[in-house]
Parts: sequence; C-alpha cells; structure tokens
Amino acid sequence: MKKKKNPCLLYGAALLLLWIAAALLVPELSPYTYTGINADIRNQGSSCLHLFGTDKFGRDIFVRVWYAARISLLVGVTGAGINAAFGLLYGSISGYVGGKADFLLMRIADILASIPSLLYVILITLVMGAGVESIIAGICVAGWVDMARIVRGEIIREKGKAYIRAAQMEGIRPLRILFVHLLPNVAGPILVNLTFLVPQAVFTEAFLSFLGVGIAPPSASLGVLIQEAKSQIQLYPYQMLYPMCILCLLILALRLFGRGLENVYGEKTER
Amino acid sequence: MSLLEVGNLNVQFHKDGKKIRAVKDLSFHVGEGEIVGVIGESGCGKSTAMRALMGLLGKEADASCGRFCFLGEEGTFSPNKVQKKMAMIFQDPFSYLNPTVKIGKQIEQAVRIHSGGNKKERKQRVCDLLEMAGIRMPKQRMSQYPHELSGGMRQRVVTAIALACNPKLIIADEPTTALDVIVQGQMILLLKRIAKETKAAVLLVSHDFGVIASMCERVYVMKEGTFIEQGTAEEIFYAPQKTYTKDLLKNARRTRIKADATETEEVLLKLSNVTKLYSNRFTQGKAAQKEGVQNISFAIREGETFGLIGESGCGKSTLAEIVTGQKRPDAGEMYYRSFRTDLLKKSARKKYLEKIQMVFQDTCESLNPKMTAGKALMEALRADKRQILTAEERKERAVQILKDVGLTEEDMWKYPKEFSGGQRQRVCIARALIRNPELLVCDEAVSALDVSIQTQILRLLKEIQRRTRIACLFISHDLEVVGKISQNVGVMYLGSLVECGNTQEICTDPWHPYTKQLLECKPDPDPKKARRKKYAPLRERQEKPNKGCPYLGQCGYRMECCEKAAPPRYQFGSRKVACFLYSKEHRKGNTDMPMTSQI
Repeated sequence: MKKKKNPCLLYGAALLLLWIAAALLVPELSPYTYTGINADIRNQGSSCLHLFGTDKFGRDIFVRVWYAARISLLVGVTGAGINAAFGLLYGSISGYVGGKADFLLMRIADILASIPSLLYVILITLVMGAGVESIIAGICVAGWVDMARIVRGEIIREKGKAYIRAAQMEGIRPLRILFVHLLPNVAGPILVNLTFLVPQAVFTEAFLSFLGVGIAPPSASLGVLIQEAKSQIQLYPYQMLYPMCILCLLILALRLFGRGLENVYGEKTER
Repeated sequence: MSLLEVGNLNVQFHKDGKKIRAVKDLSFHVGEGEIVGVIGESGCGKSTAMRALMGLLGKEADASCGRFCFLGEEGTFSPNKVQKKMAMIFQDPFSYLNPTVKIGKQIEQAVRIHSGGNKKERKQRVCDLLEMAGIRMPKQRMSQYPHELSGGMRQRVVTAIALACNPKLIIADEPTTALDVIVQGQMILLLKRIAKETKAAVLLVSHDFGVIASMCERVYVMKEGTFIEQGTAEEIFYAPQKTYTKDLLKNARRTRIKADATETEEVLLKLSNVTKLYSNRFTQGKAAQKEGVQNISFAIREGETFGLIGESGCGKSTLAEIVTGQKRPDAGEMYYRSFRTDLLKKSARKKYLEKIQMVFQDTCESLNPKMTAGKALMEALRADKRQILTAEERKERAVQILKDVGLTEEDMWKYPKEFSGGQRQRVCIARALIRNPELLVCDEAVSALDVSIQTQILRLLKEIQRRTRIACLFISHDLEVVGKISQNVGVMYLGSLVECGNTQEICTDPWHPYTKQLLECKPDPDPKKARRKKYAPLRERQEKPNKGCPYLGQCGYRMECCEKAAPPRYQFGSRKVACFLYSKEHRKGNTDMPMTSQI
C-alpha cells in the first residue's frame, strides 16, 4: 500500500525532536549557567553574546529558557506517563469487570475529579515543599480520571464483541484477555489521547508555576520565567515573550504529533 | 415500451492507486410496471450498480454509461445526481431511519421536497403513504419513533418514504434480507401490491432465489460485475444455461447434506424446564412480559445435530448463552453427561463447559482483528489446562486444524481482514475445534454468508462431525439451513419451545400452527409454486400475552382454553408439541389411534 502523506505527523515529530534536542543540549553547551548572576549586564536586550538577552539579575535568558524547558518537559512527560499508566489500569479494570465494581470505581473517580486540581497542588506543596515532585504529584492526583474514562468506554465497547466471548469460553484468564486480546484493539484512541495528555500537563505546570505554587527559585520552569518577567513587562517585554514562544512551540509540536497519530489511526480503522 | 434502458454501465473505484472495476458493461432494460429481479452473491456489484443508477455513488467512484434512457427521455447519466421519479428501498431498516425523529416527520420531509403543499396537505399525504405501505392507524403511528416499531414496520416506513416522490421505478436493494421469514413474506406481498397499485416498475435486487421467484417476471443473474444470464423467471429457474446459475439454484433448493447416522443413545446435554427471564426498561415489574426463555426442555445425544429455529428475538441466543455457561438459568436443570451443571460455582462449571465451544454469527467480530489466524488458534490451545503443550506443538496443532477446515498453512499468518467471510468462519470453526469439544454450538453460524458458501460451511461441519463424532447445537432463523444439517429440531416462539422432534417429520408434516406458518412463509425458489403461495396476512407484531399460549395472537386455531393457560408439552413418540390441539380433551375419546397432525 502506498503510504499517504501525513504532514501533521512529520512536522510535529521534527519540531518535537528539535525542541527536545535544544532543551537537552543548550544548557550543557552554553558558556553560561542558569544560576550565574552578573550584575554588570542586567536587563540587556538580545545580542550575539546573549541571544535572548539577560534578566534583572543578569542571567542569560537563552540558557534559562532551555533549562526551564527541560523541567517543563520532565514534568509533562512524567506527569502524563503516570496519568496514562494509572488511568489505563483503572479504566480497563473498571470497564472489564463491570457491574457494581465499575459503578463504585467510576464514582470514586468522579469525586476526585470534581475537586479543582489547584487545591491538590497547594495542599501538596504545603506538605512536601515546592518542587518538581510536588507539581507532578499534584497533576497526577486527578489527572488520570479522563484517561480512565476513555479507556473504560473503549473497553466496554470492545468487550461485547464475539471474539472476547470466544476467548472467555476458551478459558483464557481475565488478565490475559485484558492485556493480550483487548488492549491492542483499543490502543489507537488511547495513544492519541496520550499525546494530548503531555501538553496538558506541561501547560498545567506552567500555569501553576505562574501562580507561584510551582517550582521554587533559583530552579525554573517556563511558567516561573513568565511569572518573573511579569513585573517588568512594560520595560522589557521580550523577557516574557521568549519563554512564552518556547512554551507555545512545545505545545504546538505535541498537538501536531497527536493529530498526526490520530490521522494514522483513523486510516487504519477504515476498512 | 421500456421505462428504463441502460447500456454499458461501468463503475470503477480508485483505491490506493489501483482501479477496481465493480460494474462492467452492464446493459439492461426495465419495462413499465414490470418487476425485474437481479440476483447474485454478495460482492458481485449489485448494490453498486443500483446506487450508480440512483445517483448515490460517492466521489471516489467513477461511473460512465453508454446509453441512459429513463421515462422515454434520452437523458444524460450523472452518478452524483439523484434521479427524480426513481426511489430506493434499502436493506437495513434499522440504520436508514433517523432514531431521534418521529417517523411522521421523516416521511413529511420527503413529501415536502417532492410535492410541497401546506402543512395539512402534507400530513394527509403522509397518512396516505403510510396506509399504502400497509401500516394501519397511520395517524397514531406518525408520532412514534423508529425504535418503537418492529423491523417489518420500519421497512414499511422506509417504503412509504420511497413512495413519497411518486416513483416510476422503485429500486429495492435486498428489501427483505434483514427481516424474519414471516415478515419477509408480508414484505413480498406489499411490494407486489404497491407495484400493482402505483403502476411503478420494481427493480428487485436480492441474493435469495425464493424472493426473486415469488415476485419477478424477468431475472438477470449477476456475477463479478456483469450480467451473465438473463431471461424470464421460468427460463432462469427451469432451464438455466450457465453452470454458475445452475450451481446457485442447486444450493438454494433443499438438498439434504447426507448425514451418517452416527448418533448414539448416550445423552450429552439435557435441559429440563430451563427458564431465564430479563426485564427491560419497558417491561420492568410486569412478570409476564419479561423477555427470555421459558420452560425449555430438550436433549442432545452424542454425535447428533440438533437444530433450533425461531424468529429474531425469540430467545435462541439466550439459550446458546445458557448452554455454553455464560449465563445461569433462573430455574430448571441442565445436565452435561448426567452432571448437573447449573448449580455449580462458576469455576467448577467451567471444567465441564470446556467441552462446549461456540461459533458465532458475525465473522468480522468473532475474530480478534489484531491477531493472525494462527495466533488466535494458539491462544485457544494455550488456555487449555488439560494438556500443556510447547510452543512448537501448539503451532503444529494449529496448522493441522487449519488444514482440517480447508485452509492452508500460509493462512496461519494472515489477519482476519485478509480473509473472506467464508474463510473467516472456517477459522472460527477451527478455533472452536482445536480444544476437542464434545458439543459445538453454532449461533447463526452461516446466516451472514452467501448461499454457496453456506453450503460449503455446512458440508464442512458435517464432514467434521463424521470424523470426530462431535455433537452440534445449530441455531438459525432459517428453516432451510436447519433442515439441511440437523437430525432433530426444536421450534421456538417468543421464548418457548413450541415443537420438537425429527427434522424430516417436522419439515414435511408440521403439527404446531407456528411451525406450519414458518414453513409456508419460506419463499420457494420455484416461480410457479412461489407465485401461488399465500402469505400470512399483514399483522403487526404482537406483544407476548400476559397468560396463555405465547402464539395466541397470531394463531388461526385459537380456542378458549388457549387464553387461560400456556399449553403443556404433549409427547407422541419422539415428537413434542406445546399446543392444546393435541390435548386429551381435544382428542375426544379415540386415544388408541396414533396421533396425526391436527392442522
């Protein structure tokens, strides 16, 4: 079969790879560090020495932005990963077992999801202190619920089909039916949803950091950078512009990639 | 004079850079008021050709037509423009009606487009159309939603919509295929009547020789996109020229697949008074109107094929689920080789029920789309706790069983979508057989297949039975199919087993009124007989009566006692009938005489 062109997937993947490479390499290769303060060069504009200029402490914004990007990515991927794994397990058990257990499990999920996630984060930050771990924990408390609902729906739709009944009659153990027979058939929508979970987590992290309940200085995430630049936005707007652009780029790349995957999956299901 | 003349109709599809010719140089004509049949197996391009005529083909199709003359006008043919004065009745009435819109409104939409008028006139027209389509009390029906109607009623609504444009030509694409036998007979009557009343020509597309025989004057036989034979119904049915037509006809006629008498006396599975009732949203609380099965008793002996016939919704599949242990009966007893299984715990029950495997109707859904045929077979072996096999042994067994069902070793690594429907069903049979079951439950296993493939699968099942002496519970709505393969048969109606006994006896001499109606409704693939056939009058589907005989509402032999209580089973030799006609009181004394049919 001739492979159809899928620009979304191609450009999304390219942008994402470029972005990840920059986030990993820039802080390592740059002569500056993200904490290095230099009082002589405060609030400078873009130049050859400092591509994105410097902030109010004279730190190089280019390095700080990519360092922050690293943390954002870490939070995004881990958060999404944990959410996906737990949601997958929870949703598939709920969907496959059905009946009362399903009802109970989904109501618990509903209760968890009904409380704003900001409250969880503030609570966890109070207990564990500000940091990457508490942000991830905050994102994950209720973030898996959407995933669990999607997985449950897919499993319920698929498990009524005759091949699952045949597998049950052959006496295959429930766990094997779930993982070997059911999950490969519902993988498509779940995979697509996963790629949307990552930008969601990244954005939540940026938002929380912006509000000041996220990563503690001097460590920085994109949200922290944007928040720091807020006080100087009238004088030095570029200090906010750069981290915002980088954040937008990441989310765009991830969305494109997700959309591309969706197209691939959509083609496969059309028989 | 011809109403429609078509010359050299071609339809091509472009897919993945390849051209697929679905319809090749089709030429035919339809006279005014004539009923013309098009017969062919699925995938031969019947529906595509009809859609091209209607102008319903999508953009990816490429259609051209040498000559297209409709209503005496030399018209230009356009595959994307819907023709006026031409209407279509589709196969599946369940998916062609909008479930959220009342049927009156749906018909009115068609009326508004074609004839306009004010609201009152339109409403009157809708009433007329519904009446024409054989729906009584159209005023009340108009405010109902599609889900409140039975399949036959829905197909009538679809017919009413088709009639809204005063069509000169009605294209009916498999209009009866999704319906039960009795309803199918009524649809045939209706279409005939409409053709007569409106003087519209009908182009009837079907794979069923019986339906074609009972309606059509001229018949075209289609194969791989072309008409290979044409002629009057008599010519095609009594003197077919092409071998393809002959084969199709042979498969359509009842030819009993020879069965060796391999059954023994040992009873493998016995059900006695098994009951399982569900209540749905509408019948909650009303005990008598619950759906399900009631007081079912029958036995299957080793090596025997037991057929189970009934309309859709009569509880056949529920019974299959009970037999295979997926559901537990509410009451009654089930014995497997004299072990009572219905009281056992789920895990213990599994041990006995491992010996029962099942083949499902829908070949697309019964195989895991992400597993190759070989993998599916090896999965089935892997779960077998009685014998632990190595991966190598499992593979060997899988290849062996594939060969047994008429597939090759290469088919091991094919995915389900790479198989045809018949091949998929073979894989399903292989999967059921690989566990060496003693009883095979076939739930409508051949209903979704073409007649010739049906025959192949039935032959295969018989062949397997001869070799392995496996017993078979064969569930179908098609009396023809059950008659071909089974030794004994049970007839179900609304959850009750109304008649039970030797297949040949029941098929030739039905005792229960319902069995008789079933037999009469099956259209014969023989035009002379089929045209004479009287179908049961149009009747709406009846609710199950609160008490008394389940067949009460439809029965022509109803008596006073039928309304009071459900008839018990009367046994005469191997035959059991649940009808008061065979009660002692009704026989009036002469009890020494052997019982014969009372109807």
